[in-house]
Amino acid sequence: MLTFAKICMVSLVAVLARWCVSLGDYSGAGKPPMFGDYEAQRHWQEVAVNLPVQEWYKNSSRNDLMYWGLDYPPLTAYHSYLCGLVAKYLKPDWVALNISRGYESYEHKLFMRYSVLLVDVFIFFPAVYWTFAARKPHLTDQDASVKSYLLMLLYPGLILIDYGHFQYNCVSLGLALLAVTSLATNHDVLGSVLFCLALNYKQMELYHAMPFFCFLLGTCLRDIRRGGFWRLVQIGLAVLATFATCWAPFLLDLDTAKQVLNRLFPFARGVFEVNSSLVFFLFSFQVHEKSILIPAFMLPLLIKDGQLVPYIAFMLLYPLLFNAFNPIRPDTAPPTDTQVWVNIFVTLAFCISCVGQVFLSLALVIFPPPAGLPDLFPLVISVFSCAHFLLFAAYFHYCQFTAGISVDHSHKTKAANGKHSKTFSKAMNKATVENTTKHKSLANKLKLRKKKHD
Amino acid sequence: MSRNGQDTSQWTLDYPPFFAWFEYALSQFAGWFDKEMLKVENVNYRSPATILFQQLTVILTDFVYIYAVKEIYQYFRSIQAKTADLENIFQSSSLVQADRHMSAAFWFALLLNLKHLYLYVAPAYFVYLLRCYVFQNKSDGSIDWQSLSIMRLLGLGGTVISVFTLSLGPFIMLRGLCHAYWAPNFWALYNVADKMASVAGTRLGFVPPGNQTVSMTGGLVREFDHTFLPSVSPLATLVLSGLSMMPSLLMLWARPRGPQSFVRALILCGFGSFMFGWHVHEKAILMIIIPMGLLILERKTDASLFLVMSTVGHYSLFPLLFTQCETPIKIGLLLLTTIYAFSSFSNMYKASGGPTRLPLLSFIETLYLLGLLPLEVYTSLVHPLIGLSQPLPFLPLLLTSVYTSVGVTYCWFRFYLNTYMEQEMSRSSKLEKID
Repeated sequence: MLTFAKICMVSLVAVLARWCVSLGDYSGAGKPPMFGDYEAQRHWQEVAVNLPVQEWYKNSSRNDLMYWGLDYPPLTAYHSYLCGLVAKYLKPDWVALNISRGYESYEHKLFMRYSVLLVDVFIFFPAVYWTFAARKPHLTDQDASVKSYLLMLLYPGLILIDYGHFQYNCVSLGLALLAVTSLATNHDVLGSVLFCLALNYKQMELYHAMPFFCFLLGTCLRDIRRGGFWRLVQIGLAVLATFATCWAPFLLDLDTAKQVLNRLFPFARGVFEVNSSLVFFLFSFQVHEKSILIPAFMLPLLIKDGQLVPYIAFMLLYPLLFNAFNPIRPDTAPPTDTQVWVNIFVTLAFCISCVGQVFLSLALVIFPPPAGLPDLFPLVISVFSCAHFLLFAAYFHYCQFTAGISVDHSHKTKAANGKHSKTFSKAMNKATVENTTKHKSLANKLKLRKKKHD
Repeated sequence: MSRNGQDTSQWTLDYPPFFAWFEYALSQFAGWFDKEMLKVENVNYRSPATILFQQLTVILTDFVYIYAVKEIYQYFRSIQAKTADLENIFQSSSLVQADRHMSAAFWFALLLNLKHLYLYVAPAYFVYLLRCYVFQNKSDGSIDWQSLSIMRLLGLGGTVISVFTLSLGPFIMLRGLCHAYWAPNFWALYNVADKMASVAGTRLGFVPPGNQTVSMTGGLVREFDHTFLPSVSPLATLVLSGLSMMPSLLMLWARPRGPQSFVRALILCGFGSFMFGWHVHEKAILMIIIPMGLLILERKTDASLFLVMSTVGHYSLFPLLFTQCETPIKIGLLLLTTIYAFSSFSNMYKASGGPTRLPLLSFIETLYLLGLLPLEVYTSLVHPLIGLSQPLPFLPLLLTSVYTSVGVTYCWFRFYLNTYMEQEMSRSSKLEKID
């Protein structure tokens, strides 16, 4: 069967899954006075479309920052502006200044859900596709690419958050993914620009900034005599240009710029947010639980948003899908002694993990928490997930240090270099373990499955 | 949920008794989800728990369908494993054993008592079972009158009648000629022709204005009269349906070649009753499409007809899903299955399309199917945007119905032709064998 047909079908399945989740509730549905993230996004459209640019991040009588003030970088604001324009055209009531607070309707929900689907399909889907299409043909077969495409697009965490809770993570993640693939295919300048865009969409991407920076600096320095210096200059200029373009309206005076930074990095807010007190995130100040996007960990949040049924459906479906469409081919060589022990350990850990997830999910749903400990279950879930993260962190550190150094990062050829991308993706994985995003945790699962099959 | 004079809801039970028992069984579990849904006075009650329960019951009963598909799949696998000579396999009775006939009769009788809709295809079952179970074939495939088995006849009759003695199914003739949504059958075209004629007649002065009939699509059930063309009575539809089925039943009686000819007759009975039946619901098209799916592996002509029929047939169901939030789902699902069908058939029959043709289809057929795209764009996007939703609310429905009836009618004729050619081919090959 034509690969094109397969890609179409997988994309359609992904869209269908997203839309079905969209039919459910969103964050804060029907819950005045503050509602939830859905209302926040609507409010930003209202602010962006009614107020001049300079006032978007400023507290004023027309823009009460206590009510869902903008706290994402300018690209999100511009995106909200565009959506707001469409909203104004379709039905001005949706974004009428101040009057539209808490606006909820059937058509409005359709509009908001379509807005997520649009950017998802045009940014995230191509990004995922390119990730697998850009690999060297002999390293993988067409079928494995399609399967990987399927598994990544159907990753439950992203779908439940973007289409259930309501967010636009697909944009920043898609841009970041495009940046990664650009670097893997030796398009460093393009990758830098794309990553800056991702960063300017959600400051959460700062978690990925270090690997990008280190990798680019490292390869430029390594190739310093072979055009590396010039490349470094290009990258630097590109980054500056991207930031300047995104921040242009806010750089006109120092106060505005400072105000935006203040909104993005509110050091006044502190480490803990809502119910997700995460002890192990001490290393990153101001963490939001959504930056993790692991479904089981997010269960308390999902239940609050009425997403229990989609959660159950996905948790049942995804492992089945993974089993059916596992793109990794098992090693045919017989395992060595150490490998046998590693396999046993991994299988055991995997079983404990699955059983634990099921048990904790059931406990959270069925049993009321003991009187003195109302947040017991979310806390246990957090600690349980923390153990996973630490294990993965250890594993990826190990992988990274045993991967070896890539030697031919050549810009003379456009073709992707296998080792180059491997090292880079290992670096990415390492940084992301601290806040595992969707494709990284997928890579984790892929590695686990690979070990399991060995 | 009984019809004894209670007027609480417009949704009185109108399926045979077994369905009532099925609903009764479900209601035992419904109480676990939400007791309120079981109160008769709670008309249009919809709590989230109720919706969840109802949807779960659909999902669970779907497993019956999945089981049936699995059985079919294993049947096809066993055929492929045997010789490639399909003729022989269908001739031999090894696959159609005595007890299979009886269980087929039993299940069908049961089915009839769940939904009397299946009465449409009962003639096919009747003829086939009579022909192949009560009688046997001679070596050349024609009927051996001597082989009449009274025991089998009684057994069949007994099974069917005993299932039916429980049935008190009222046959609903109180409804209108067309369902509220106009199944894409002959009557849809008939109605449109009548409407156009009456509009033209009014313009040209033949018919005095104000003599317009009530809209045929109004409400759930409504009778109406035609203005120009003769009015249609339930009896007329019954006769026409019966007549349209006769050729297929005769062909089945003359020379049944095992399960394949039975399926063909089933499909043609479904077609006939769909095209001419009284108050046909659009979903009856599934009774045609699903059996057609059983023939896709045999002949390329059947496979290509299936492609047209399933695309058009499923599209004709779109008006049933009219809420805005369902649009991406119905379009997405249709595209998904259509792309899958075309690419897998193209693979199977090694027939890729061309620049002007989809795989396995002719140019005209391709053009017709592609015409569904502008149709959908118009009905779901353009029509409401240019403000015609109020003045002409039934226009999209009408357009869909008419456009898809053309395709359904075409498939009906082609399928009849295919079946006839099948018959002729087998007859001539049999003659060759005898010579």
